[in-house]
Amino acid sequence: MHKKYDIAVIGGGHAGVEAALIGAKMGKKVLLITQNIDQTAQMSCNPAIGGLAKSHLVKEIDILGGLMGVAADRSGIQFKTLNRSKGPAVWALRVQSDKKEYSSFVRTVLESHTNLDIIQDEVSGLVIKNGVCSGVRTDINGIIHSRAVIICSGTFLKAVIHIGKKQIPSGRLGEKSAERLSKHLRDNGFETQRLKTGTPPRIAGGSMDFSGMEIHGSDDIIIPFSFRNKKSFLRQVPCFMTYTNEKTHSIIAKNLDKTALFSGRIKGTGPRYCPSVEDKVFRFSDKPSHRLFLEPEGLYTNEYYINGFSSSLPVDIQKKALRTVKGLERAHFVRPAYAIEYDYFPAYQIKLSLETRNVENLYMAGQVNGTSGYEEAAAQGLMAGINAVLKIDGKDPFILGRDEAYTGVLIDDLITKDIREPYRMFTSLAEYRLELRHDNADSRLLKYSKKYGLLKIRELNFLKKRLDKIKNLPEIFPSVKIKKDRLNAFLENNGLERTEEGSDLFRLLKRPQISIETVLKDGLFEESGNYSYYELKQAEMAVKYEGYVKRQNDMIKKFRKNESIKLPPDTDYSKFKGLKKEAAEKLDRVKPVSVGQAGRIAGISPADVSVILINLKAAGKI
Amino acid sequence: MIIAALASAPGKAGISVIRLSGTGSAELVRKFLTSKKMGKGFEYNRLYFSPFVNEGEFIDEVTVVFFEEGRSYTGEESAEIFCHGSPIVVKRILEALYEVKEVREAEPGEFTQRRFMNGKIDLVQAEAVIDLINAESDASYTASKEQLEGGLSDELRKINDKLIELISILELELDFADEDLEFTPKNEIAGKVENALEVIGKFIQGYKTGRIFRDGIRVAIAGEVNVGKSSLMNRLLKSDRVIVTDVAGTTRDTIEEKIEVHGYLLRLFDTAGIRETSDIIESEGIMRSKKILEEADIVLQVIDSTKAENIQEIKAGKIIKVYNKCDLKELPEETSSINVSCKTGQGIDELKDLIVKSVINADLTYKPYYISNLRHLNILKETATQLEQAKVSISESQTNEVVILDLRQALDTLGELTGETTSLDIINNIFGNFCIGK
Repeated sequence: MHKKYDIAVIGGGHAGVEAALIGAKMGKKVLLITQNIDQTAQMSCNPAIGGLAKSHLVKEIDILGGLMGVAADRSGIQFKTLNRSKGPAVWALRVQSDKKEYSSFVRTVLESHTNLDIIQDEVSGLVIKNGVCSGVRTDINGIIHSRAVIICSGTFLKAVIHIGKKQIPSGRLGEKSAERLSKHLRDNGFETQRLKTGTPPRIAGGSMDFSGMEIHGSDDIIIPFSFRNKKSFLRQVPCFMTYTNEKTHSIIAKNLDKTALFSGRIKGTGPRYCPSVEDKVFRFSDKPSHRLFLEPEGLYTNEYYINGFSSSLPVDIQKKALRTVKGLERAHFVRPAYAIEYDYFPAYQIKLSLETRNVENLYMAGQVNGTSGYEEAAAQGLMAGINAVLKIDGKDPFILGRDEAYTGVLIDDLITKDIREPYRMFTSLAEYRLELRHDNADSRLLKYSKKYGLLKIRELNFLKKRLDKIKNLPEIFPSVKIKKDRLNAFLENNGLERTEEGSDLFRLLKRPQISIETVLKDGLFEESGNYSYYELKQAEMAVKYEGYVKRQNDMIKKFRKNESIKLPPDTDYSKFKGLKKEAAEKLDRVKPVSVGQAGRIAGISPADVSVILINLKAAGKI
Repeated sequence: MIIAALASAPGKAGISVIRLSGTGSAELVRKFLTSKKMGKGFEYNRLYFSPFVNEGEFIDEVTVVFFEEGRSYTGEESAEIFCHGSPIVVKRILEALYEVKEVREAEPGEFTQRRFMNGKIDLVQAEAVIDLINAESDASYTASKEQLEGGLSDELRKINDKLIELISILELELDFADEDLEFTPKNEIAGKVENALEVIGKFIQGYKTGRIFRDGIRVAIAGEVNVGKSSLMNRLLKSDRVIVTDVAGTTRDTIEEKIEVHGYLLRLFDTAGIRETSDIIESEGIMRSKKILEEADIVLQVIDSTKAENIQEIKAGKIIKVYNKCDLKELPEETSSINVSCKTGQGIDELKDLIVKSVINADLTYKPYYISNLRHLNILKETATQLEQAKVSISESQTNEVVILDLRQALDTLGELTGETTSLDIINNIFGNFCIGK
């Protein structure tokens, strides 16, 4: 162990491991400090990676040199492509992972990487002098100097677990919370607030009756997250589905006052989209039942995660309620559901590079910034890691636009939106989602992987070659002529109307009802053997949505106009004529980088943006 | 910075109004006032009468009112000085004010710009201020007043909200694509798009009437040479504005004049009689006549009732046949023809009535969808095109993200009108059109 590092990363969760690994990959000396090395990249909640909008983040992480996609593939025990029959924006991959395997795979990668040290210790404070951070204070190893520090402490800051009326200071069930770091940062001018999240109970598999439940298995053809992988690595196992009923709901409704949340003991705000079961009963009181997914926690455990039954009810009520569900009548609770409340730093305090405004060389990533979810955390960890390296090298930060990546949307939202509950990635949050698909992260981000050296040369070449092939295909399609009789046979097979003349593959793929899959099934494209399914699908998208993508690009151009009007960080909004006091305060707080970003700040109206524009114009700045 | 400018029309008048706006403007004006009362301080929203004295030199006796912050035209502390309507007095008062370090001359539209910036009005209302100031008739006044009061904005905001609602429904579906939730059927979405289109269509249709409310009815007087077109113009104007001779082709250029009828502005265009001619000036006049005829809301085709045979057809939209010289010979009238005599004035009032009724429908009241601004029209037309595209996408059963793209584009475009979409171009466009002091 050295006494001086380039980067010190606090926390070994999904944000921390990405930050540490990319830092080391980019050639810096990195130290990862974790309270418990056995919990590296622990999946604290559900045993799955991806899903709607989140899988977009994983794909972006993969192209930008991150580990999450690879780790999910390596530990995947069920691969499911969601919404294949729906539009391209909502296609997503979800991988059920063996939690232990996920954690140990990540740990092995970190441990075997050069330039990367791990210690088990607790950070009580930072070394901050004149607004510059230059290291951390630890309990065992004392002061450790580093040129940059990245805080990825997740839900552990001043964390309290609530189970009914019971309160336990703990960052994850059975693990201690970090009691001092957030106070230390408050003393250094940071604002903290409370957030709440929760996790459902884990039930012993042997106590459940799966007969009569819906079985959800892996896809027939497995398409992994990472472009590096072609298949799954572990034995595949299914999930099961069952439903709550009116009896369940009435038990919960009768005991609402016993939950920590409803009785007001929890001050933090919980996520709206991943609500606790009592939330669902309370808010959707007319719905007689809710779905529950029973997800295996791993191959070598019998624990099941009860997706949909997150709760802060007392354990005896949880048991009583869950045992009304079909198949769970004799459910044995291995670990109860619980709610956790913790300190986070409202993200107006960080810049788009994830560096804090107050303290130079200090970065924050993950749940400390108010997000929820492994994928959201990992994306931030990766970006913070890259930017810490760039800062050390005296280079401009790497900032992804809202028009380039979900990662860009995520970070911009964190800073500009008034977040009152853990922020989760959603499809609707991205404006240009026809371009930001989960399957084209390479075409969007490869230039950055190359620029910042995030991938190996071999990987870059592979992706480059694949993209070239995709680009050429739409030019080949028009030359694939289909004669009238052949075409009509094809159309009839697919329940479509006959036609009077022949066509070509290009025109055929333009039709919304015809997909590349139907074309391949019918053998209409003889040369298809030269291309992978992935390449063909990408080319189909390019053809099918050509017109729409063009129009979306027009909107992106308009969007960029206001993005390109820069607002220097030393702008004094209180001096702006005609700007309302509250608006000026909000702008001074966030210090937007552009007029476009200013307009996205919660509480800034379009009229305020006009005022900013008029002021800039009056000052001759635009 | 305090801004000051003449707020009333320039030139001689009974009274002129000088307006100042900005923190400290009341105290600043008070220093020029020498009446005893002013020495004891002042209250807002009260009229004061006092001499206006600059460095010991008396300039004028003025009435002054001070407005407190938040309760003035601009929303800032303001003062208005009512002086005698002499250009010299105005000039000397303004010079005295501009000498003060904190004061500068207001730029065109700056008072209204400040009003906008202080959140008192939105962009559409700001545009209405221009129209209100330029109003030349009761109808034009009504139209811009309604817009200023937010009538137009309210209606458009409703469409705006409708589109947002639609987009939210579709986006919710995207966000919960893998949940077992029931969503709105596509034909219901299409129906809602159709509704929005209908409302926008109403606005687009209303432009023609709206423009008439604002700009008046364009009435072209046309006909063959020497049938009394200029005499009719003079009769309608009740003056000898246009030279009238017996020589055919006397009127060579187009002459425009305005009259008000039933609160509507009639813009009369006397055109050169159309005939083959070798005279270069006259043929240029004839060219212009043809253009006027194309743009007119209504054409008065003047016909000499004593020579009413073989009249050449005029190519134009609405036409009223005006049989002149009814003192000599009357012709049978139909719905769009009338007998008049420019010599005696017979039938002239009836003709004015007929013009207004032919152009504006029986219901002469103003509707909020009578838009009058070309910018507004173009935005609404573009919005409609994009909504039509959304309908096509739905009918082709395109997926949600595609339909949302159409709707978002429409919403963005409409936002240029409601002020939800802001860009430098729009702001320049609107505030560039003001006169100083407004």
